[in-house]
Order: sequence, then structure tokens, then C-alpha cells
Amino acid sequence: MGYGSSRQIAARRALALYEQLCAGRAEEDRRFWAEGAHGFFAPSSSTPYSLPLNETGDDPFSSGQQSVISLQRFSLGSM
Amino acid sequence: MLTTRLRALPAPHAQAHIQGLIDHFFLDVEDRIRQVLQPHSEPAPPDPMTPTSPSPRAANFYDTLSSAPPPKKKRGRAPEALVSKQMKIFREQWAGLDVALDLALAQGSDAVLAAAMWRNLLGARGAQGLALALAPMSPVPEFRRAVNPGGAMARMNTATREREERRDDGSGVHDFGPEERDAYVQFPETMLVLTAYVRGEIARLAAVSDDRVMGTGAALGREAEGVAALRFNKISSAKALVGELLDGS
Repeated sequence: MGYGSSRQIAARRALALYEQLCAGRAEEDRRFWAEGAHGFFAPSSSTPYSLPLNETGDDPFSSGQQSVISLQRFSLGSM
Repeated sequence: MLTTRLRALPAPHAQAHIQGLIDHFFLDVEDRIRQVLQPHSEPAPPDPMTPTSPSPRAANFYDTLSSAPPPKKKRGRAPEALVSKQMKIFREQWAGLDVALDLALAQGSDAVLAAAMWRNLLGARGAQGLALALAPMSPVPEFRRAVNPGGAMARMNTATREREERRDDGSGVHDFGPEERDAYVQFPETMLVLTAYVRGEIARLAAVSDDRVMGTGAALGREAEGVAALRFNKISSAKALVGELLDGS
């Protein structure tokens, strides 16, 4: 039947890899994709603008909160 | 990233694993495309003989689907022409991202890797400059998007391509207008984080032995053993790496 061939074994392993490692990956980091990366960078006095945390003031990447808030923007003033 | 690790397996396992991964990936892509494009139909009483969705994960993938009430009747079939068109687009995007990531890793260039992130994950927004203010004679922002230069676009002349860049394809991926210009500020940060994340995950997977990647072999029903230990870290794991990069700069 070919179930023991290296190709079939690899295909079955690849299914497990895809299902468990890849298929739900975007969902796991949906806060990052919705809000961007500004939570990585602390506000600094050396920068001309401040980078806000999320609406609750929490670090958006360490919080267990599931809801996704809208992308926050900060003004650059006149450019 | 996973493809990169699988490619390092001994032959013929490398090719077989990569082919298997691609097969399952595009089967899932097609399944999701059909789910999104299925036309709605009138509600009908539930059929007890009809099994429930075999893939609750897929049903939750898109916000619009998650928030919509569950259909009471099986929806119609998605138009085959649209499914085929989307599959071709995704195939081009997958091939483009794969080559771009391989090139960046082969060259060892973080700049090339960041550029691949910008083109593929940030929609190549702003490719022809940033619209910081309204044009003098235009009361509304000019619509503009980056088009994939491969595939059918490669055969278009300049005028046709420019016209295509000004056509809204409904994907929602297009350049930010002047009123949204601040969003571009996040692009370098996002590219830095994703570059650090990819580098970190590639290094993590490289340290995993071939035996752990390939699993227990021929034993039916045990294909998933050890896969959980290979799970990707969350993007937030790159925070420390980004900090080290910034401290060292």
C-alpha cells in the first residue's frame, strides 16, 4: 500500500507539523498583527514622540487579554 | 522558517517533508478560500445527519466569520474561477516570500530580510514614496497600492501597470493616505521585530536534531509525537533579542 514508504511517512509527519506548528500561528499572535510592534519599545526622552501602550496601559504582548483593539496612532505633528 | 529546517534533513527526507508541508498548506488555503467565498443561502432546519465542521480552527480564522451568526443551512459552492484565481495569487505570494527569505538568509543580510518582511507582510506600502499631504488639485487622497511584479503583471506595459496600481482590488492592502501617514512610523519597528524573530526561530530550529524533527518514523498514529516541543515561540519572545540589538547599536 505504500504506507511505509519514506514519502508517505514524511507526508503524515508534515501534516502533524502543519496542523500543530503552522495552521493556527497567525491566531496566536493576532494582537501583534492588529496593533503593530510599538509595545516592544519603551518611551524614551530621546525620541521626539511617545509610543503608547494599549488602552489598558498593559504591555500588549505579555497580557492574556484576548480582545483586539484598534491600531493606535500617534501624531507626528507637522511634517 | 520550517521549510528552512526541513531542507536541512538528509535526502530524501528533506524533499518529502517539504512537499508534504506544501501540500497540506495549500489544501488548507483552498479550504479557507472556499469558506470565505461561499455565497450565503436561506436558513434551513439543521440536519442531524450532517456532521459538524471538522475544522473549528478554520471557522475562527477570520474575524468576520467568527462574529457572524452560524449559518443554518449549508452555504452554496464558491465560484471555481475565483477560487482558482486566489490560489494562483497565493502560490505566487508563497513562492516570492520563500525565495526572498532564502536569499536573505543565504546573504546573511538583516536588511534583505527586513525588506522581505516589508514587501510580503506589510504590503509593500509606500513603495513609490509616502503621501504626506494631499495633492494641490486633489480633494481626496489618491489611491495607490503595490502590485506583485510577477505572474501576469510581468507581461503588462507601464501604463497598464500604473492603472492597476490605482485600482482598488478590495484586498484592503494599499498605501496609507496623508490622514494615516503616522502608521508608517511603525514600519521600521515592525520590520526590526520580525527580523529578530525570524533569526531567533531559525537558530532555535537549527539546534533541533533531525530525529526530533522527523519523529518516530513508520509507526502509524504516532506521527504527531514530539511536534509540540517544536512549536514556534510567540513574537513577543523576540523582545529580548530586539533589546540586545538596540543596546549594542
